[in-house]
Amino acid sequence: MTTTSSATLAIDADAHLVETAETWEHYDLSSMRQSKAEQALFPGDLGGQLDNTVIPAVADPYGDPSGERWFIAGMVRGKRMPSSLPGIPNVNDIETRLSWMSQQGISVQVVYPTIFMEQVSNRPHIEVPIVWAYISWAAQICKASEGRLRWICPVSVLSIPDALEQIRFGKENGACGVLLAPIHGDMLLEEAHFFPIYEEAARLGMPICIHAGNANPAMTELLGQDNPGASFWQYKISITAAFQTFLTSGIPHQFPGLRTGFFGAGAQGLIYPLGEWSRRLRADSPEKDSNPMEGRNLWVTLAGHDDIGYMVKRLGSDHLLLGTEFGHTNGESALRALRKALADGEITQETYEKIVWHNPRAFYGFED
Amino acid sequence: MATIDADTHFVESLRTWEYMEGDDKKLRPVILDPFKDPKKQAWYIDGQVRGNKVPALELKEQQAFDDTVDRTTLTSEEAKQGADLGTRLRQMDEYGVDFQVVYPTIFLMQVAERPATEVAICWAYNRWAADICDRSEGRLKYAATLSMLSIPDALDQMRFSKQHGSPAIFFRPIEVNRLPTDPYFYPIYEEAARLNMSIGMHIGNATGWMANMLQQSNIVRNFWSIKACMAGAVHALLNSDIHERFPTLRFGFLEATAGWLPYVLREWYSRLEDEGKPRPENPLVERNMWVALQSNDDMAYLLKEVGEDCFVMGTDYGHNDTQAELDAFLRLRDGDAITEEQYRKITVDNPKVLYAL
Repeated sequence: MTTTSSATLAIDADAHLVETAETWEHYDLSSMRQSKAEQALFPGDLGGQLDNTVIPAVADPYGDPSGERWFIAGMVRGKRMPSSLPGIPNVNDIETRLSWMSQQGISVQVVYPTIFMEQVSNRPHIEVPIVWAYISWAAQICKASEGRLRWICPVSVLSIPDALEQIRFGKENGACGVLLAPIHGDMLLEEAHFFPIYEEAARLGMPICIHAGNANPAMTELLGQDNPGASFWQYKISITAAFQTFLTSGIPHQFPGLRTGFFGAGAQGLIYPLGEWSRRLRADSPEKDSNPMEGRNLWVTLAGHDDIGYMVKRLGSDHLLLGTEFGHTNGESALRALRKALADGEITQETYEKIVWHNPRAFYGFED
Repeated sequence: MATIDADTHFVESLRTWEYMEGDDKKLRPVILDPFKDPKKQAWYIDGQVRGNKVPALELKEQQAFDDTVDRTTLTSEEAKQGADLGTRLRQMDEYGVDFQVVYPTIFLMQVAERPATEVAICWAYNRWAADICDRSEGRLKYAATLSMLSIPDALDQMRFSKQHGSPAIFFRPIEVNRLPTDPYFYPIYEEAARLNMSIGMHIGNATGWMANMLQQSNIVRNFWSIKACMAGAVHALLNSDIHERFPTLRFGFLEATAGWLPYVLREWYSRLEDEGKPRPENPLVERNMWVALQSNDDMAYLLKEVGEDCFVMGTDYGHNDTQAELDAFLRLRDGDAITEEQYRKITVDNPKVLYAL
């Protein structure tokens, strides 16, 4: 009889910080005027066109925290979620978070933003300082965690020179990946616009982390109409599609050192594009019997609703990660499902250890 | 045992628009051919490139494609366009298909922004398709194509098509800036239920700006724009109360394969669990929903996960693309992926219920 143990320490590859008014205390109007986007738009004496209406503020139209929105430069923007959960008054509180992690056997948690799941602005000079403010806030929180919290660096995709500076700052300050949404405005991720980001991420050994979301406001609005479970179509189908992009485009081959991960939607959604891809191959293609996740350096987190045994069978065990989504949820679903799969014999102890420990270390480039 | 091919196509030609009447003729689609190459043509409607125009391939090109992908899509342009019914019916015999339910091609994408134009094009298509099907000895049944920008006209088109044996209504996962859960479509659902016609939701996207945006640089241009939408639409319908409002209404989900179905169901179940709601025992059957399989779907897994009462099969006859497989029924029958009983359900019993044939 094989003995199994789920006591192995785990790395949580996808959890969240939830921005609050405190985040924007890191917004620095004066220093942000030095951003490349701002300099290009408002040179010389025209600089400093920003005022405090460009700082995210909470709009609470119904006097109901669950209906709050971010209000940025006169528009409702970004993804606003409550920073408290049942039994957890503040998900950003370090002590609370570290205590929860210890209870769950999680040694390291990688935290993603929330607001950038949607577009914060379609103007670079507004987007750049918001991204910098988040970066400053996240870096400060993670620095105080004694290495147990690592953060993913959002970038201002509307101003590539600023984005590259943000990536470098992130690398120097403990970030372990670069965040992208599946779509930014009307730009898909295979567009050459993003290539400098891929190049710099690969150079610095940082993976590209594509999280469930949708930074095209018109599409988000359309898919949210008369749709009670809207986030599935808005955010998660977008991940399925972004995966298809990396599966079928030349990006993984053009940036051979680049690791790309897909987060926040589970792994089961990958079966559809994989079937499509396989169907398009020539009958005698050597790729027919290959694992495209491996050949393209693609990774994905499992969700609590995934059929984990089947995912391991279809995707292999070397490119699966565990993501709890703590911060948006109480974080227990995926971990519970994974441990159940182990207990039920759907996956082996070796596979379990890969998913919770070895794979995330390889993906994020953790060396110690 | 009469087999039913749940998803095939007519390919429109200039002949289709000869079915326009009166002033509508001024609105007829014409072919844009900037490269003098039949593989790179487009439909030109109301001053814009609109609709879906499939490349016209020569037989030797089709054969080369078939050899490359190890599938059979070979047929003549005339058979695709319904002009050569003899060939089409002979091929059905050859590939083990007794009846075909036929969907349009041009309407996979938005054809017009002006209701008047859309109404005229839809009427021409329906008259043309009805004419072909009326001459097919009952073996071809077309899905009615509706002008969704004008619901009163759409209802008339449904009634006309029903009189010509149409078993279904062609529907896209996203109509013009509206999801299928939008109450805007309730009159269509109500009339479909009354006429005993099913909703044949076929891959496509009639929101032009969105489809164009998602296709602009994507190497496999149509995955996100027209295919992945199907998973979103089914999820939205499962989350909705459409099945309670229209309890006899039937839905078929076509040409999207079925690999996404367990994902949609499992994600939806997790939402139900979060909301403290019970998980339906057989949600697709309870909601009168059927999904078209493709031969490379993992059938054993799908049948285990979802059951065998909600699948149908389509060959995509008429197109030469990723989905097309004229001999899909033979491969399914002669392969070892499913039992004889399951084959019967997928190709006979289930589509018979879906389309009320």
